[in-house]
Amino acid sequence: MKQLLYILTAITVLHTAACRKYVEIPAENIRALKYTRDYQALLNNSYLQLERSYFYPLYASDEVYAADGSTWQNNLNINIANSYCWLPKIWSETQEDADWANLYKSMYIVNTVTDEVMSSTEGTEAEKKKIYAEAQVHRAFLYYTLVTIYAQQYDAATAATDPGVPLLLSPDLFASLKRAPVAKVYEQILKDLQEALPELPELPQVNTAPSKAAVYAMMARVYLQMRAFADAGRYADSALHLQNSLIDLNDHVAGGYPTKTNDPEIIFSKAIHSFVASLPLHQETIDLFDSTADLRFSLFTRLGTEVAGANFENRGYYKNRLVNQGIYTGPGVPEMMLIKAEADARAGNTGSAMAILNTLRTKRYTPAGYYDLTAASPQEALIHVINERRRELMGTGMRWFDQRRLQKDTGYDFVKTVSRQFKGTTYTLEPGSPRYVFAIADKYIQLNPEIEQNPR
Amino acid sequence: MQLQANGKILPYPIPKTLLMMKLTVVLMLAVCLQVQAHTYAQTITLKVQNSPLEKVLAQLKKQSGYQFFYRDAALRNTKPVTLDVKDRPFDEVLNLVLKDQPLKWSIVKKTVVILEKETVDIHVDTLPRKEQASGTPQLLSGTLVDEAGKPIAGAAVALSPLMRYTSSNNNGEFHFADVPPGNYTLVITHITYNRINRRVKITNGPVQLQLTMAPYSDEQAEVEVLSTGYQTKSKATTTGSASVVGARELATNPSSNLLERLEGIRPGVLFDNRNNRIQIRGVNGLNPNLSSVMPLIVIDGFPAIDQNLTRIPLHEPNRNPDAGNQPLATGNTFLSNFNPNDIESITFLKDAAAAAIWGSRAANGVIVIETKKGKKGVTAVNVGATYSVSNPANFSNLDAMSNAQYIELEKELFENGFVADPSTHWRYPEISEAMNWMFRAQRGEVSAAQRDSALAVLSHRSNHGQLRNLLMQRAITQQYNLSMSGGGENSTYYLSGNYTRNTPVFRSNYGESYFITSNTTHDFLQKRISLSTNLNYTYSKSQVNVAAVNALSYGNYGMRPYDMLTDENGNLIYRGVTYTKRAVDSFERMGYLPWTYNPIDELNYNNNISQKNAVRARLAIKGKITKWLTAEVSGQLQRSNETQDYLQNKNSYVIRDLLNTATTLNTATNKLVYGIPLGGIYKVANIRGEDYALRGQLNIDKYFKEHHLSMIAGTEIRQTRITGNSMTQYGYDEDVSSSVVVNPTIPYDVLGGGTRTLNSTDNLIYKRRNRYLSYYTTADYGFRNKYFLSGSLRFDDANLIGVDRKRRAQPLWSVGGRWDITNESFMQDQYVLNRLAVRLTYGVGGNTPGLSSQTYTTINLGSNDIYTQLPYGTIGVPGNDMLGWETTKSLNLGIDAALLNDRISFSFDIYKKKTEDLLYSLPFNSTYGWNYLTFNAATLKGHGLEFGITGIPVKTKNWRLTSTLNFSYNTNKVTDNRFPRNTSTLLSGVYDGYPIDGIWAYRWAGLDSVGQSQIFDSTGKVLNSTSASTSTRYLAYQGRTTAPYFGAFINNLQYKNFSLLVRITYYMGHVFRKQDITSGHYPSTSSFSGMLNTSKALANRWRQPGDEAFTHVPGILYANFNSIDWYANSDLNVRDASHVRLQQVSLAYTIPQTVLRKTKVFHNASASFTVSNLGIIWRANDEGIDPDYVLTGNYTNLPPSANYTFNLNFSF
Repeated sequence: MKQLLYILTAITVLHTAACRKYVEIPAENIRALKYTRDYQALLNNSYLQLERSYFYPLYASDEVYAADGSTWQNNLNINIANSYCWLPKIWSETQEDADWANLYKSMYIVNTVTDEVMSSTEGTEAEKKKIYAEAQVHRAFLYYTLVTIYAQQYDAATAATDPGVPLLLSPDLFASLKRAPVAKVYEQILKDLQEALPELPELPQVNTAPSKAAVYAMMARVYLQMRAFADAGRYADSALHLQNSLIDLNDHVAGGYPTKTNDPEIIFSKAIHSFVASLPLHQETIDLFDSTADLRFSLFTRLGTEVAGANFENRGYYKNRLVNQGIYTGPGVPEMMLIKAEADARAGNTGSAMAILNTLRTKRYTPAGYYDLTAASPQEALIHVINERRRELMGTGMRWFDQRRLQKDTGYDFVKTVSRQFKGTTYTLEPGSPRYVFAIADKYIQLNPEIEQNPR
Repeated sequence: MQLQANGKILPYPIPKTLLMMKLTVVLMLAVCLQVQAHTYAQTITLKVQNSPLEKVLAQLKKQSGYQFFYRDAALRNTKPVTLDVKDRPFDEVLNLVLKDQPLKWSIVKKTVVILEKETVDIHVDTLPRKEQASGTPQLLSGTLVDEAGKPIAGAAVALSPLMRYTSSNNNGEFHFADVPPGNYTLVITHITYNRINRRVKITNGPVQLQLTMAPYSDEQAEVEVLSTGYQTKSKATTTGSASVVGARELATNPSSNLLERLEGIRPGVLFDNRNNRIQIRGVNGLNPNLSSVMPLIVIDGFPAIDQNLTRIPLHEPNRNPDAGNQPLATGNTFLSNFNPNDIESITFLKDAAAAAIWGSRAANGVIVIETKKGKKGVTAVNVGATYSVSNPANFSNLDAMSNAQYIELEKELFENGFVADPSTHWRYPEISEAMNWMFRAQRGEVSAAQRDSALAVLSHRSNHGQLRNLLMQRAITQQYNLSMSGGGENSTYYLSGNYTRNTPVFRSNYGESYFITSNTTHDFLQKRISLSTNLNYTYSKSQVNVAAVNALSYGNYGMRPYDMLTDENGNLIYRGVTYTKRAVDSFERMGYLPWTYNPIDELNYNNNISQKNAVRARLAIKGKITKWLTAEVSGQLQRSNETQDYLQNKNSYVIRDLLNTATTLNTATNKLVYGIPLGGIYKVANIRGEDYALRGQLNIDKYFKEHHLSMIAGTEIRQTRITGNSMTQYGYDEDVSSSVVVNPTIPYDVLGGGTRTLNSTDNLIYKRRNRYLSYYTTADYGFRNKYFLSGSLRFDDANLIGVDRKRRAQPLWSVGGRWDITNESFMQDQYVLNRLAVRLTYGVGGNTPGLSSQTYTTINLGSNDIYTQLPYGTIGVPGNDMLGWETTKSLNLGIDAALLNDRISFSFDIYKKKTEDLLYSLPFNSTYGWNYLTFNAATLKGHGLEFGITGIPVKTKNWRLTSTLNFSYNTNKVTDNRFPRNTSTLLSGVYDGYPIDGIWAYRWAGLDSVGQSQIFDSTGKVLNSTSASTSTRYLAYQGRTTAPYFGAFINNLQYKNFSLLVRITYYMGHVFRKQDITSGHYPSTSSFSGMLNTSKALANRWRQPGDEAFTHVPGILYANFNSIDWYANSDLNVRDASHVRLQQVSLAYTIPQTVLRKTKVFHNASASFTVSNLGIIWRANDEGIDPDYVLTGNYTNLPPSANYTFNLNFSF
């Protein structure tokens, strides 16, 4: 019996020594981020995460309108309705702002990449640098989107003090959320873009991935917002140098519009993936089109009564339904052409601006209905450019951001007082209204009171 | 000194004064084990030379199977034995052995009782006693008779506290001479009769008693032994707070749902049948459904692979076994994970000292289940059958509006343009019959009068009868149980089989399970080695079909109150859902599949059938190294394999709808193009669980004079691994089991324009592996059987990714003490209290963060982006290096008492708990990328008390009433100033100074002029639901959602062979939200197609300015999210949830032994009839709401109707 006791003791001792290793095994199906390819995988999550841009500003723009009393209005989701009516408060205290939450979720991901990818394993230095640069471009897009929704329009005079958005550059869960000044946010956007440029290929493998073209395109957008029109034009030109194909709508009258990954006009794919059956368009926007010759009218818009779930009777935006892959909000070839044209017009190069517009228009009109647009002055050219932007970028929410920035153009009536009737009440948005800046959801301010609310 | 019975060493040394008490325990144990002894070897072969009598008796016992009863002291003066006999009868050998000894003996059944010859009338009291000083000694005598009045011979009679004992003679008489005046207890025990404890007072005359002994019943022998999973302990010596429920008590409620059987029968444990949850001593986390806040379930010493007592079948296949344990609807089917009839005992370990041995998983208490084992010498066969039936809940209990009110609601929607006229375009969804009339009148197809008369017809038409008859059925549960147990000298066995089937009220649903259990024990090498095995196999199968539930719920498939299932001739009525009947008929003419819906058809389709096989095998070898040291190695292997088959038949509406939507007309060829292959969709999910555990343990059980030390020390490893996968096949043809390969990433054209993709995520494989390593020890020390100390220490380690060992493994410990006051000499002169003990414990239990939170950022991989096809990853959880263990410290003070010869027994516990580093999923700022993060966030303090009192107020020859009252109180409070409560934060959550399960409500300020909610802000100003006022809302604390006071009142009245059991449960002091309207079920925020909310409250909604004076229910026209949210969560709709429920009434009849003896077959036969779900007998709210089944106007939330159960049980 004593022997048995010894044996048991021995087993126990051995067991104790060997067992520590027993529990030091990884869990399955889940592991810590460590390989370079893990970070690439995070950036590949485009449809569910990084490609998503914004949604609610879409409804705030003056191009959206459906008559009061329509089923569309009655069925409208309350938060969309709040955006549509430019209410000072869009989210109740308990709600998350879907746009803000999603953009900052993406921010956490790109910050994780920039924070860790350089120390990851099983990747070459070049790969790591490229992934780092890609994350920077995504981050620039995210901050650009946030600052154009939730902060005052960039104004060189006040940007250093205007509150921008919380500027998080690492996946730190306890950093201060104090809003950085608008200027600082723009500085970061430009810094990220400039640093990323040398590490990226001229054109991407897939258009959801950043490239040099994407960097130039984003630069053009950012400088346009900053009213640095010459720079905007220059970068738009650089982008167009790398990518300039346009879709000739005449080729797709019978259908077969290319899917997103095959769309040659997309430079850097971003999208709205919330399902929109059709977006009701304001008559003023409809009237901008030549309904017989402009194929954008016949292909990209449709009567609400012909679309399931549209619930309104006027014409609505329909381009998103052609391939059902979302509403495209990322920079594209037509937008770059329009930025270049705007820069030219503002610089007084009327001819060059009009030439660009007409290049675009040839791909949009039926050959029979096509005619050249002409302008007698740079001012007239600028008006043509802005109207072309309204036509070309219709239904993407881009108009809302134009409404914000074009208020600075005195002497034009690019932005008028907008009013709309909703469930019997009339809502009005005057130029210069603080409600051109979206409110930050109360929930975030309650959780982190250092976040300052926008003037309401 | 040891007493021996049945080869067991009694657990403690016995000071003389206590001997008699302990003897009774021994007798009791022996009785329990020996009632039906037969089948023994009857001849003895023995050869001994000068062998101590004790050893000889042991030999005799081994060979004969007879039990021996004696005091060790009785053998003290015996002579060694020399004997050589071969194949002699037992009696003869016994006679030879004991012939010349100073002993006398008698054989009762198969037990030899040996007593010292001189015991009778010899005064052996050695302790000086005060009371003996005065008065003349008297004669105490008595006669023992059975219920028929026949004398009982051979009963052991002890007179306490005098150390005197005797036995009754053939006339049933006993006597003690010269008893000094004083208070005494007579303890009378007999092998075939129940023990009697009788207080006697001797004053100044002889006392003569006539005592009737009742035939032995299990009742008294009902386990006083509790199992911690690592060891069994006598409840009388444990320091910790634990409750044991024995098989007999479990059988008083024959329900096949174990939770129902257990509800209310022990204080401190809350069973929530409806949500399938158990809480021991209150809540420790915000989400009570998380396994991390549920008690650990242990079966036969090891954690069970199924950590729920019952399982709720899922509707959709899911690879993740943790998904969904919530009932689909009340009254739906469930499956048991354990066969209730196999359970010998369930022990609830409540405080730290009891549960600390489970270390890192003990913070929420432990439930230890022990299965039945065979008994030596007994071959018993038991057959039981249970049949229970209940009707579907009554439609008339629905808190629903009338048809006319419903049509009125539709009219309001119609008039305000909420619904589009489907005749204007084929793309509009189907509208209701009532709305159709309204549109027809609007278009001028019918006159207003025709419309009104049609609507009048609808408002008088009810579909309740059809729903009841065609979609529902009587719920029936059947249980059949067969078990057999027995054993010989060296082995025992227990075999059982069980079949249970339950069909709930919703048609096309059922659950059935088979259980097979085999438990054996074997002794080898002169009983130095014992081997025990448990084998358990469970097969369960369930079918879930949602057609009936859907028809009774809101939404597209719901039946509006006037929608009929069949016409007058019994033909099914088909309706359009996605599009109007007119539109889909035209599609059908184009070659599309039928596109109409009737729930009766759907009862045949889309059944999710899941089948689960589970095997559990346990093997334990125990070796005796020395008299006091044993070593034990045990291991358990558990395997479970669940297959879920979900065939979405090609004829089901869901599939027809999907296929039709994917069907387009090629205008060039004029042919239909199918985007998805024609046929059904077949989904299969597999979940495999593997769990093994191995344990080595040393047990010490040592007596040193008045000291007793019992100690265990061991180490254990365990791995749990779960893998799951699923597969979807398209174009499935059931007849030939063929399917079509589909690339789910390729877009297909959709009817009406555009494209869609299937985007299957089948390639994901679910995997989880956890490993645990533990070292543990516990020690129990007893002194003079009065003072007990206990301590435990456990060290747990587990595979937590990247966590440093220091943070991963922490020692968890407990200490405790117990003082048995009645065993003190100063307690011997009173005869009110026959048991009084005080317990005090303190200890620490833990809770590991688990996989939901990691200190490192983790990545989930394995999917491809739907457009780019590039593989992508997501961040599972953000790294949080501040994560560590949650620990719960608890202090418990308990008192156990019994009064008046056990007529009243009582236990009381008061405890304090402090949970530190509470793992809490904290609402986080989404600006950081996460809206919830798990942290060791708060500190939670709790305290409570619980008591159980059982009394026998009536006890006569024929009548006996046993009443038990259980009461539990538990409260908790977050004490952490990092979580201040300000007036405007969330409706529930962790806040300093408030309970963790508290809820808050808006202060209601009535409706505004457009019928929308208003509330008060913190300054008392009224806030409008659409105003963007910057002033903050004010949320007033309402109370807790878990009942702080709860318990049960159980009465058992016995008359002869009848017994009537009434179980009443009560829950007090909590609140609930009356969810008559919620944002999810309000017409403005949900779809208008299908069945609308029928809540009666909605009938009183605001309709026009001025209505706000009469009603609080927001109107539809200007409804907004805030308004509905404020209404639903305002103090207007919070109610006191206190209620008392009549849980169960049952009547049982046991056939008298006198009748059974004549049959010569049955040992026992009984029948019972039980009614449960009898409903509420008192409620605090005066609106008739059952707080457990909040009335939403939705049928699937109705409380179940009464359930009737018949049970028959035979043993032979």
